[in-house]
Amino acid sequence: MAKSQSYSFSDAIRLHFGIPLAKHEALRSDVDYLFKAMNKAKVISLESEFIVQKNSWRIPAEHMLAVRNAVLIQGLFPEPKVVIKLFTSKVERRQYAQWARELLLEPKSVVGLALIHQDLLDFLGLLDSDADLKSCELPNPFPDALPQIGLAHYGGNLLRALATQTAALSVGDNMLLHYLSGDLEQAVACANQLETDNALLLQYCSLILREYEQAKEFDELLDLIR
Amino acid sequence: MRILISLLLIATCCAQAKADNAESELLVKGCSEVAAIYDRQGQRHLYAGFTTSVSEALRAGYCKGVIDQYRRTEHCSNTWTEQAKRIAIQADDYLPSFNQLLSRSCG
Repeated sequence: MAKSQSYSFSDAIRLHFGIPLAKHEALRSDVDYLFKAMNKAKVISLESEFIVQKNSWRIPAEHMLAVRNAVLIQGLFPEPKVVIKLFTSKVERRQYAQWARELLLEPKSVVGLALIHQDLLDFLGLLDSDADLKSCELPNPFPDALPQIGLAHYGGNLLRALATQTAALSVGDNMLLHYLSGDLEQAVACANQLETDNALLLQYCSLILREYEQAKEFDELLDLIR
Repeated sequence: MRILISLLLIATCCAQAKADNAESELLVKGCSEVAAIYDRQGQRHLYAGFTTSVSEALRAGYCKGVIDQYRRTEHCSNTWTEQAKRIAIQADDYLPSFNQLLSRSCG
Protein backbone atom coordinates (compact mmCIF):
# COMPACT_ATOMS: atom_id res chain seq x y z
CA MET A 1 0.00 0.00 0.00
CA ALA A 2 1.43 3.37 -1.01
CA LYS A 3 1.99 5.55 1.97
CA SER A 4 0.53 9.09 1.70
CA GLN A 5 3.16 11.77 1.63
CA SER A 6 4.46 13.10 4.91
CA TYR A 7 7.22 15.45 6.00
CA SER A 8 9.75 15.60 8.79
CA PHE A 9 9.72 18.74 11.00
CA SER A 10 12.82 20.09 9.33
CA ASP A 11 11.37 19.44 5.85
CA ALA A 12 8.28 21.39 6.81
CA ILE A 13 10.24 24.37 8.11
CA ARG A 14 12.53 24.36 5.10
CA LEU A 15 9.61 24.14 2.66
CA HIS A 16 7.57 26.87 4.31
CA PHE A 17 10.24 29.29 5.43
CA GLY A 18 13.44 28.23 3.71
CA ILE A 19 15.14 27.87 7.10
CA PRO A 20 17.42 24.89 7.87
CA LEU A 21 16.19 23.71 11.25
CA ALA A 22 19.46 21.98 12.10
CA LYS A 23 21.21 25.36 12.22
CA HIS A 24 18.78 26.96 14.63
CA GLU A 25 18.64 25.15 17.92
CA ALA A 26 16.17 27.56 19.57
CA LEU A 27 13.73 27.31 16.68
CA ARG A 28 14.19 23.54 16.49
CA SER A 29 13.20 23.01 20.11
CA ASP A 30 10.33 25.55 19.87
CA VAL A 31 8.92 23.82 16.81
CA ASP A 32 9.40 20.36 18.25
CA TYR A 33 7.60 21.32 21.45
CA LEU A 34 4.82 23.07 19.54
CA PHE A 35 4.08 20.32 17.03
CA LYS A 36 4.02 17.62 19.69
CA ALA A 37 1.72 19.69 21.88
CA MET A 38 -0.60 20.24 18.92
CA ASN A 39 -0.58 16.52 18.25
CA LYS A 40 -1.41 15.79 21.86
CA ALA A 41 -4.26 18.32 21.79
CA LYS A 42 -5.44 16.66 18.57
CA VAL A 43 -5.20 19.86 16.57
CA ILE A 44 -3.07 17.96 14.09
CA SER A 45 -2.26 14.29 13.98
CA LEU A 46 1.35 13.34 13.46
CA GLU A 47 2.51 10.00 12.21
CA SER A 48 5.18 8.27 14.14
CA GLU A 49 7.91 6.22 12.59
CA PHE A 50 10.20 3.98 14.51
CA ILE A 51 13.68 4.50 13.14
CA VAL A 52 16.80 3.20 14.83
CA GLN A 53 15.17 2.69 18.22
CA LYS A 54 13.81 6.18 18.16
CA ASN A 55 10.38 7.54 17.51
CA SER A 56 10.43 10.03 14.67
CA TRP A 57 7.43 12.17 14.01
CA ARG A 58 6.19 13.06 10.56
CA ILE A 59 3.63 15.58 9.41
CA PRO A 60 0.99 14.30 6.98
CA ALA A 61 0.62 16.50 3.90
CA GLU A 62 -2.88 17.64 4.88
CA HIS A 63 -1.51 19.21 8.07
CA MET A 64 1.28 21.16 6.41
CA LEU A 65 -0.73 24.42 6.30
CA ALA A 66 -1.73 24.03 9.92
CA VAL A 67 1.88 23.67 11.06
CA ARG A 68 2.96 26.62 8.94
CA ASN A 69 0.27 28.81 10.50
CA ALA A 70 1.13 27.47 13.93
CA VAL A 71 4.80 28.43 13.57
CA LEU A 72 3.84 31.96 12.47
CA ILE A 73 1.41 32.33 15.36
CA GLN A 74 4.11 31.02 17.70
CA GLY A 75 6.21 33.98 16.54
CA LEU A 76 3.69 36.15 18.35
CA PHE A 77 2.55 33.81 21.11
CA PRO A 78 5.41 31.48 22.04
CA GLU A 79 3.43 29.23 24.36
CA PRO A 80 2.05 26.18 22.56
CA LYS A 81 -1.08 26.21 24.69
CA VAL A 82 -1.91 29.68 23.37
CA VAL A 83 -1.27 28.57 19.80
CA ILE A 84 -3.59 25.61 20.38
CA LYS A 85 -6.26 27.89 21.82
CA LEU A 86 -6.11 30.00 18.68
CA PHE A 87 -6.87 26.85 16.70
CA THR A 88 -9.65 25.63 18.98
CA SER A 89 -11.44 28.59 20.57
CA LYS A 90 -12.99 31.30 18.44
CA VAL A 91 -13.51 33.61 21.40
CA GLU A 92 -9.96 33.36 22.68
CA ARG A 93 -8.60 33.60 19.16
CA ARG A 94 -10.37 36.93 18.73
CA GLN A 95 -9.01 38.27 22.03
CA TYR A 96 -5.44 37.29 21.25
CA ALA A 97 -5.73 38.64 17.72
CA GLN A 98 -6.93 41.99 18.98
CA TRP A 99 -4.17 42.16 21.56
CA ALA A 100 -1.58 41.43 18.87
CA ARG A 101 -3.13 44.07 16.66
CA GLU A 102 -2.94 46.72 19.39
CA LEU A 103 0.66 45.95 20.23
CA LEU A 104 1.93 45.57 16.69
CA LEU A 105 0.12 48.54 15.26
CA GLU A 106 0.96 50.72 18.26
CA PRO A 107 2.33 53.78 16.42
CA LYS A 108 4.80 54.68 19.16
CA SER A 109 6.90 51.60 18.77
CA VAL A 110 9.83 51.77 16.42
CA VAL A 111 10.00 48.00 15.94
CA GLY A 112 6.26 48.04 15.38
CA LEU A 113 6.64 50.61 12.64
CA ALA A 114 9.27 48.54 10.89
CA LEU A 115 6.91 45.59 10.95
CA ILE A 116 3.84 47.32 9.58
CA HIS A 117 3.43 46.25 6.01
CA GLN A 118 0.71 44.61 4.00
CA ASP A 119 1.58 41.05 5.00
CA LEU A 120 1.31 41.93 8.66
CA LEU A 121 -2.04 43.64 8.14
CA ASP A 122 -3.28 40.61 6.19
CA PHE A 123 -1.92 38.27 8.84
CA LEU A 124 -3.70 40.15 11.64
CA GLY A 125 -6.85 40.37 9.57
CA LEU A 126 -6.96 36.63 8.98
CA LEU A 127 -6.06 35.93 12.60
CA ASP A 128 -8.95 38.11 13.73
CA SER A 129 -11.48 36.24 11.57
CA ASP A 130 -13.16 32.88 11.39
CA ALA A 131 -10.89 31.63 8.60
CA ASP A 132 -9.90 28.01 9.21
CA LEU A 133 -6.31 27.97 10.39
CA LYS A 134 -5.91 24.43 9.09
CA SER A 135 -6.77 25.20 5.52
CA CYS A 136 -6.02 28.88 4.83
CA GLU A 137 -2.47 30.08 4.42
CA LEU A 138 -1.49 32.95 6.70
CA PRO A 139 0.91 35.39 5.02
CA ASN A 140 4.32 35.54 6.68
CA PRO A 141 4.54 38.80 8.66
CA PHE A 142 8.19 38.18 9.51
CA PRO A 143 9.98 38.65 6.20
CA ASP A 144 13.49 38.71 7.62
CA ALA A 145 13.57 36.06 10.28
CA LEU A 146 11.12 34.23 12.46
CA PRO A 147 11.03 35.82 15.92
CA GLN A 148 11.85 32.39 17.35
CA ILE A 149 15.30 32.92 15.81
CA GLY A 150 15.84 36.66 15.79
CA LEU A 151 14.69 37.53 19.29
CA ALA A 152 16.49 34.90 21.34
CA HIS A 153 17.31 37.71 23.77
CA TYR A 154 13.61 38.01 24.60
CA GLY A 155 13.02 34.27 24.69
CA GLY A 156 11.86 34.45 21.08
CA ASN A 157 8.84 36.39 22.21
CA LEU A 158 8.13 39.19 19.79
CA LEU A 159 5.27 40.67 21.77
CA ARG A 160 7.34 40.69 24.94
CA ALA A 161 10.13 42.44 23.05
CA LEU A 162 7.63 44.97 21.74
CA ALA A 163 6.00 45.47 25.11
CA THR A 164 9.41 46.02 26.71
CA GLN A 165 10.33 48.54 24.08
CA THR A 166 6.97 50.28 24.23
CA ALA A 167 7.32 50.57 28.00
CA ALA A 168 10.82 52.01 27.64
CA LEU A 169 9.58 54.45 25.03
CA SER A 170 6.66 55.55 27.16
CA VAL A 171 8.90 56.16 30.18
CA GLY A 172 11.07 58.09 27.74
CA ASP A 173 8.05 60.01 26.48
CA ASN A 174 7.08 60.95 30.01
CA MET A 175 10.62 62.00 30.77
CA LEU A 176 10.68 64.34 27.79
CA LEU A 177 7.17 65.65 28.50
CA HIS A 178 8.13 66.57 32.06
CA TYR A 179 11.36 68.09 30.82
CA LEU A 180 9.63 70.16 28.19
CA SER A 181 7.01 71.36 30.64
CA GLY A 182 9.79 72.54 32.96
CA ASP A 183 9.35 69.90 35.66
CA LEU A 184 12.93 68.84 36.03
CA GLU A 185 12.39 66.75 39.15
CA GLN A 186 9.73 64.58 37.49
CA ALA A 187 11.89 64.29 34.40
CA VAL A 188 14.77 63.07 36.52
CA ALA A 189 12.51 60.58 38.29
CA CYS A 190 11.62 59.16 34.86
CA ALA A 191 15.24 59.24 33.74
CA ASN A 192 16.22 57.18 36.76
CA GLN A 193 13.56 54.60 35.92
CA LEU A 194 14.59 54.33 32.31
CA GLU A 195 16.03 51.01 31.27
CA THR A 196 16.83 51.14 27.62
CA ASP A 197 19.48 50.51 25.01
CA ASN A 198 18.04 53.21 22.78
CA ALA A 199 20.95 55.59 22.08
CA LEU A 200 18.77 58.64 21.60
CA LEU A 201 16.86 58.11 24.83
CA LEU A 202 20.12 57.58 26.71
CA GLN A 203 21.40 60.85 25.28
CA TYR A 204 18.30 62.75 26.44
CA CYS A 205 18.61 61.03 29.76
CA SER A 206 22.17 62.21 30.37
CA LEU A 207 21.25 65.70 29.18
CA ILE A 208 18.44 65.86 31.72
CA LEU A 209 20.61 64.54 34.54
CA ARG A 210 23.25 67.15 33.73
CA GLU A 211 20.71 69.96 33.74
CA TYR A 212 19.40 68.65 37.02
CA GLU A 213 22.84 68.87 38.61
CA GLN A 214 23.30 72.39 37.29
CA ALA A 215 19.88 73.50 38.48
CA LYS A 216 20.59 72.06 41.92
CA GLU A 217 23.90 73.90 42.08
CA PHE A 218 22.20 77.14 41.04
CA ASP A 219 19.52 76.65 43.66
CA GLU A 220 22.08 76.11 46.39
CA LEU A 221 23.98 79.19 45.28
CA LEU A 222 20.79 81.29 45.37
CA ASP A 223 20.16 80.16 48.94
CA LEU A 224 23.75 80.84 49.90
CA ILE A 225 23.80 84.46 48.71
CA ARG A 226 20.23 85.38 49.57
CA MET B 1 32.39 131.76 19.71
CA ARG B 2 30.25 131.84 22.84
CA ILE B 3 27.58 129.85 21.10
CA LEU B 4 30.11 127.24 20.11
CA ILE B 5 31.31 126.83 23.69
CA SER B 6 27.80 126.49 25.04
CA LEU B 7 26.98 123.91 22.37
CA LEU B 8 30.09 121.97 23.30
CA LEU B 9 29.14 122.11 26.97
CA ILE B 10 25.63 120.86 26.26
CA ALA B 11 27.04 118.02 24.16
CA THR B 12 29.45 116.88 26.88
CA CYS B 13 26.67 117.16 29.42
CA CYS B 14 24.36 114.99 27.32
CA ALA B 15 27.05 112.43 26.71
CA GLN B 16 27.68 112.27 30.44
CA ALA B 17 23.95 111.91 31.13
CA LYS B 18 23.66 109.24 28.52
CA ALA B 19 26.55 107.22 29.98
CA ASP B 20 25.09 107.61 33.44
CA ASN B 21 21.72 106.57 32.11
CA ALA B 22 23.18 103.44 30.53
CA GLU B 23 24.71 102.41 33.85
CA SER B 24 21.41 103.02 35.62
CA GLU B 25 19.60 100.98 33.02
CA LEU B 26 22.01 98.09 33.41
CA LEU B 27 21.60 98.21 37.17
CA VAL B 28 17.81 98.30 37.00
CA LYS B 29 17.80 95.45 34.51
CA GLY B 30 20.20 93.37 36.60
CA CYS B 31 18.23 93.92 39.78
CA SER B 32 15.01 93.02 37.95
CA GLU B 33 16.67 89.71 37.11
CA VAL B 34 17.47 89.14 40.78
CA ALA B 35 13.83 89.67 41.68
CA ALA B 36 12.65 87.43 38.84
CA ILE B 37 15.10 84.63 39.66
CA TYR B 38 14.11 84.52 43.34
CA ASP B 39 10.51 84.68 42.30
CA ARG B 40 10.98 81.60 40.08
CA GLN B 41 12.91 79.83 42.81
CA GLY B 42 9.87 80.27 45.03
CA GLN B 43 7.50 78.93 42.38
CA ARG B 44 8.90 75.44 42.01
CA HIS B 45 11.92 73.57 43.22
CA LEU B 46 14.82 73.78 40.75
CA TYR B 47 12.71 75.91 38.42
CA ALA B 48 15.09 78.88 38.68
CA GLY B 49 18.12 76.88 37.61
CA PHE B 50 16.17 75.31 34.79
CA THR B 51 14.82 78.54 33.34
CA THR B 52 17.46 81.18 34.01
CA SER B 53 19.67 81.98 31.04
CA VAL B 54 23.38 82.62 31.29
CA SER B 55 22.99 86.35 30.51
CA GLU B 56 20.15 86.74 33.01
CA ALA B 57 22.37 85.19 35.67
CA LEU B 58 25.28 87.46 34.71
CA ARG B 59 23.08 90.58 34.88
CA ALA B 60 21.79 89.50 38.27
CA GLY B 61 25.37 88.99 39.41
CA TYR B 62 26.22 92.51 38.24
CA CYS B 63 23.37 93.90 40.39
CA LYS B 64 24.61 91.98 43.42
CA GLY B 65 28.17 93.17 42.85
CA VAL B 66 27.13 96.82 42.64
CA ILE B 67 24.94 96.61 45.73
CA ASP B 68 27.66 94.79 47.71
CA GLN B 69 30.17 97.43 46.74
CA TYR B 70 27.78 100.22 47.82
CA ARG B 71 27.17 98.56 51.16
CA ARG B 72 30.89 98.51 51.97
CA THR B 73 30.70 102.22 52.70
CA GLU B 74 27.01 102.84 53.35
CA HIS B 75 24.88 101.25 56.01
CA CYS B 76 21.51 99.86 54.90
CA SER B 77 19.21 97.95 57.23
CA ASN B 78 17.27 96.14 54.49
CA THR B 79 18.74 93.04 52.84
CA TRP B 80 20.50 93.24 49.50
CA THR B 81 17.64 91.41 47.78
CA GLU B 82 15.15 93.93 49.16
CA GLN B 83 17.36 96.70 47.90
CA ALA B 84 17.56 95.00 44.51
CA LYS B 85 13.77 94.80 44.38
CA ARG B 86 13.48 98.53 45.10
CA ILE B 87 15.92 99.27 42.30
CA ALA B 88 14.06 96.92 39.98
CA ILE B 89 10.76 98.80 40.24
CA GLN B 90 12.22 102.05 38.84
CA ALA B 91 10.36 103.18 35.75
CA ASP B 92 12.31 103.28 32.50
CA ASP B 93 11.29 106.85 31.57
CA TYR B 94 12.79 109.05 34.25
CA LEU B 95 15.64 106.99 35.49
CA PRO B 96 17.47 108.44 38.49
CA SER B 97 21.24 108.53 38.33
CA PHE B 98 23.26 105.50 39.27
CA ASN B 99 24.09 106.90 42.73
CA GLN B 100 20.52 108.02 43.34
CA LEU B 101 19.26 104.55 42.52
CA LEU B 102 21.52 103.09 45.18
CA SER B 103 20.97 105.70 47.88
CA ARG B 104 17.18 105.72 47.47
CA SER B 105 16.90 101.97 47.63
CA CYS B 106 19.07 101.69 50.73
CA GLY B 107 16.54 101.31 53.54
